[in-house]
Amino acid sequence: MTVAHDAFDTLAGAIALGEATPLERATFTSHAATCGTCAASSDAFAAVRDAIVASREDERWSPSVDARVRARIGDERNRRTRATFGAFHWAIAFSLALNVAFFSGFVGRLATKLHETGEPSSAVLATMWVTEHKRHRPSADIAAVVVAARATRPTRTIVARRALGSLREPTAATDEIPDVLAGLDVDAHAPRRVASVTAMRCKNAAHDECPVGRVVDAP
Amino acid sequence: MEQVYVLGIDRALDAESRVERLVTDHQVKLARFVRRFVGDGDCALDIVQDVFFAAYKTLRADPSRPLSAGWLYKTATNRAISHLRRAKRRGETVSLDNVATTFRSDETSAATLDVQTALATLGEEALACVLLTTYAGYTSGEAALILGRSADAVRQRVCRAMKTMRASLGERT
Ligand SMILES: [Zn+2]
Repeated sequence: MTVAHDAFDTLAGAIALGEATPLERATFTSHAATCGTCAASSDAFAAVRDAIVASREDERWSPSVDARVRARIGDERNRRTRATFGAFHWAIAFSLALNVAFFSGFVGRLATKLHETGEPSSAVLATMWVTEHKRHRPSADIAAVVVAARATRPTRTIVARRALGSLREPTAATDEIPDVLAGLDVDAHAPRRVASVTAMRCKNAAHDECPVGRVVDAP
Repeated sequence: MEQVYVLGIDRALDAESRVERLVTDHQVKLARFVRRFVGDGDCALDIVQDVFFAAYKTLRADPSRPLSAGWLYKTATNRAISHLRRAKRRGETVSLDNVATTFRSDETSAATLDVQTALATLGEEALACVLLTTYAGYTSGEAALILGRSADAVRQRVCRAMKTMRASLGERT
């Protein structure tokens, strides 16, 4: 497979996923007219995709993990409680040591040091609640998305922007908006400095509790 | 640069309540997704349970953290890939009979079994690309974000995976 032909695989993938632009379709079609491999494969994609979708619709398996997850959380809570009680004994010992340190003047010097190195948090902002938004039946005029907070690695911002660019907007009331970005590392991709956040009401009058924010990056 | 964001997080809910809500909303779809991935129901349930427990630990550490389906699918995908790789290292192969038993007990159509058999011929990464897009409904850009790859790489893998699947489906029809 040549590097040049990889590009046609990319186009074929876009067509198979229904994401190709008219120009991309035209480019692929004119290539497929001269390439037997691509001509044969493009017909096959629709059939495979339909088969996968049909098999998904056919599924009846509806398992539940509620009880198992709840039990594990309960175990974890008990374990933490025991650990806290264990720590209680250490706390008594620590408080005795602290008394000694206080009277010896060590604490004062430590406090001064901590004040010098303190740094304000760079956490900026809250997030999304697309799941909630979905329940309100999103309108087409909302670019559903995302998150800004805690930029730890500014270089990643570019990745996030590119990803944002490829998100589709809901085109009908019943359209699913995948909330893929929520909770991923995108909070770390967000702009490091946010100049302003304006809360505003979503344009759909039916949404009472649908906060939409306009976030402007700092230059 | 200006972008519109949907804001807001339910700060009233603690980690446990948020996880409960995630479980209620996503357990069935996520379990089916993982079962497609690993070809085994019990194993899928173990993975899904781990994913929700990981969500709980994450939210307990940072209750205001945004976390929903995207995070669940990313975590589940990574765990499913690791599971398949471990199985491969141990020399375990997915038996087609097993696949048939797993899916025949719940699903009626023969086409469903054929699709699962075709999926089982793919490598982990290709499987992830196909399932996240055609099965879970994410775009290539979104799947790219989940997998830490470029959208073009996802599209290429989807294309090649579909060719492989087509060959497998073709043999059986
Ligand atoms: Zn070609």
